Amino acid sequence: MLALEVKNLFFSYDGKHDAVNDVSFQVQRGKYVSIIGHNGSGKSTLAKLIIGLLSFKKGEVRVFDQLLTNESLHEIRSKVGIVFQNPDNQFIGATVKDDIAFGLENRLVPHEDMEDIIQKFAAKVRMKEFLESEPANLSGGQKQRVAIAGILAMSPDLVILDEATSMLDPKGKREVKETLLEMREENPNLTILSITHDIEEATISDEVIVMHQGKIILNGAPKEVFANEDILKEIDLDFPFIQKIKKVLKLQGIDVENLANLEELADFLCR
Amino acid sequence: MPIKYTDVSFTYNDKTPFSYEALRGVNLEILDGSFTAIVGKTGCGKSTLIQQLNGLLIPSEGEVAVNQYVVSKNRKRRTKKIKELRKLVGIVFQFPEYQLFEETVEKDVAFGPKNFGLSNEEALKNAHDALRLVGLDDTFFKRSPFDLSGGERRRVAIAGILALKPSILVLDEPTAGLDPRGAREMMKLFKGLHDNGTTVILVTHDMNIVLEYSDTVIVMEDGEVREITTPLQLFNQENDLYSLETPLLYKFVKLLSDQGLKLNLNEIKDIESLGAAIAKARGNKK
Amino acid sequence: MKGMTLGRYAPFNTVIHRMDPRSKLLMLVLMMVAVFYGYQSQVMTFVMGGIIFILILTILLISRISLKQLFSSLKALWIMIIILFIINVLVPPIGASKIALSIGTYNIFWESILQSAKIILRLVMMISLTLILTATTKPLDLTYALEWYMYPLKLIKFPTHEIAMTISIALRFIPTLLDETMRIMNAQASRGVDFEHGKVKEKIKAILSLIVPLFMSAFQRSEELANAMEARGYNPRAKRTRYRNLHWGISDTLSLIFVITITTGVIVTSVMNWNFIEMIFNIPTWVVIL
Repeated sequence: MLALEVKNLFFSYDGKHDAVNDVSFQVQRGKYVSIIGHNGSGKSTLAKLIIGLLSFKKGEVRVFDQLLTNESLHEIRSKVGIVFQNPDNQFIGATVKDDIAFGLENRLVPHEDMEDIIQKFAAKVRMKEFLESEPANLSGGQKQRVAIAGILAMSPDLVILDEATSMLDPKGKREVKETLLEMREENPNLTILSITHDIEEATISDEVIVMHQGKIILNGAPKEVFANEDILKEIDLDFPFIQKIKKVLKLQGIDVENLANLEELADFLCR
Repeated sequence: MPIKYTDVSFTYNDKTPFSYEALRGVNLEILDGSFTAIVGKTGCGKSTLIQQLNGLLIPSEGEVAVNQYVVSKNRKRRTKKIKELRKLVGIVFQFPEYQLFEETVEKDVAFGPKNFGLSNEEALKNAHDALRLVGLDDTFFKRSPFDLSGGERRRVAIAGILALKPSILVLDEPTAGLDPRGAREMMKLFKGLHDNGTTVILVTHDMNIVLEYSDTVIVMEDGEVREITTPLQLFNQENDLYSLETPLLYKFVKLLSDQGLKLNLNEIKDIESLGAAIAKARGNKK
Repeated sequence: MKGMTLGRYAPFNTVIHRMDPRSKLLMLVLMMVAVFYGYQSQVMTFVMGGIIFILILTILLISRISLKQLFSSLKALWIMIIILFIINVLVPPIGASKIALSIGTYNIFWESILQSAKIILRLVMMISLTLILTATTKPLDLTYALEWYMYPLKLIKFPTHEIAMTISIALRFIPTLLDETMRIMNAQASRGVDFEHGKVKEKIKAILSLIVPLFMSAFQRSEELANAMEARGYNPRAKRTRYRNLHWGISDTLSLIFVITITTGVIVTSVMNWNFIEMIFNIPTWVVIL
């Protein structure tokens, strides 16, 4: 089953230059897909188009087989949860509780059920002790975890992360990443679309999409995508650490092409 | 002359129920022309520390000496016209693009120099020089700062400080939120300035940057200076002190070392040297 | 910044704190009316005023509002009080005849002093009442109370929900905006801006360098917030359920009855021109004053 299908999507902010230029791709349910590319490559624009925050004139977006239109917008949004980059600018409630409740209120969840749901999902992102805290007293990582709790509480089938860790310090980044992994473990059917600058994160996802100047230039399993060294070098995109190591080792006459990760590599080198 | 902190302590909201001691007994020296990184967990006092360098904050105790200026609570010791210090020490705060406000890019960058008494022509000249330095050519000068992309706006903001021609440049997480390419270009700019004699002080969480660019590292924790050392020595330590992120390079070195392949860390600064070191160590093994 | 409580709210757990903000708001309005009612005789004014004042002091005590807090709210009005006094002295009320003090040829009448005292007493009571409300009620709860009272306006398509949502979001962002102001000030100060000294032109530039970035950032923030809210299914015009509910309790009902009684009593006393002192003691009022 396809979680997401995008066909020939075009979008322009100013009418002259296409921020998203004929983009087509598919995401299978349950997959973890990373989208990488420079700032300005169209990644965030794409995310906003998928969730209908921007309207496009040309192209098609289908979420779980439902075509995205003005009429289906509300229903599609109930299946998709998106976490944005700025921890403050998506924190609406006066406290953690109120913020998680916001989504529930919008979706007409009965008042009697709300407290349990809030407690449950706050616990999942390990923010239970902070339920009465105000955002001004929380770190970036904590606020992002609250955002995640807020969307998980709506039981989405597709989660989009729009550079959700870009503005966080290393601790915050780690906390959010751990939360995501737990999320995935608990719900293997959950489809995740992660827009990121973290090349190492891209290496562990199921698929990588590389965007450049509004177009998708590479799409596939991480290993295949990163094998396109010339293309990546041309657009000045970084390579995963393991690939860089393998390259320098090859120059030294050590062939380690087939090893999958750093642990295997270390193992091999130490034998 | 080195920058010198002598017994510096700082308490926010002193004598109120909200008082918070952010710095405690800080003693340190930053040498002329060095590229110093200041690291530590969020809340360790890094931001408070750097704000004493241009007099935005005045030590609750102790004093900071920068060239002939003294920043101190003691009015007898404190240099008059401490505001002049802000021409010598340029501080670029985190997400500086939020400070832009003028109608045109060149006006915004000229704002700083004008505040220090330069004439309009002189200020604009400095502005143009600074803008070219950060990679924004003449086509950007008359544009509105709000029409630019985030990365371009950040460069305008940095140009705004560079236009003051500071001999000491302090940067608080300059690469925060930038994509890897943007971060690289930014660091290249600072390295260039450093090569030309500017003392660079960099507050950062990115240990890869610390390893690649700095010659000195000041490690802070809970308002105190724990260590002043070199990047190599910092990352060579056995235990995971200070919960700092280890650069990928060194993580791998540790992985190898755990499996029995010991490498000479003094020879490893980047990927290439790592490859060479591994080959050498394996060659030795045979 | 982060440790500061917003406005006057002091997080204690008194009976008054626990009361429903709707009842507190209503009682504030009623008490304000009671404070303002006037009486024919000076004595009654002060007796009634005195009674209400003692009542207010009692509530202040129960709410654990320190006198220090009260004085700091009055601090801002020092000047006004002095000006009021001076005006009343310079322009004595009609029929003033009892001289209290003579400075050269100038006479200060008792009536002037009493008139000033009356106004000042009312001011103090008004401020105390407002302080009671704001010190015992979180700003957000006040917003909910206001929203509830505005409910009937929905019938004429007045956007009560949108206004309440806007206020609650604004409240949530006040600490964030304060932090941002601080950051921008630091950034501009590092560029040589002096926020304290300087000629008028320089000061204007200084303020602009603070306000323009704040506004621009506010616009960007609004857009991102709107996106986030929309993505989470927010539709101000559609029906929504509610997480936070206000709870009207016994203390609310009893207090409201009490306050209504007082206010009614005040209005009746004023309208019927009853004079307790004369009735009880059978003494002409002037004797009491002198």
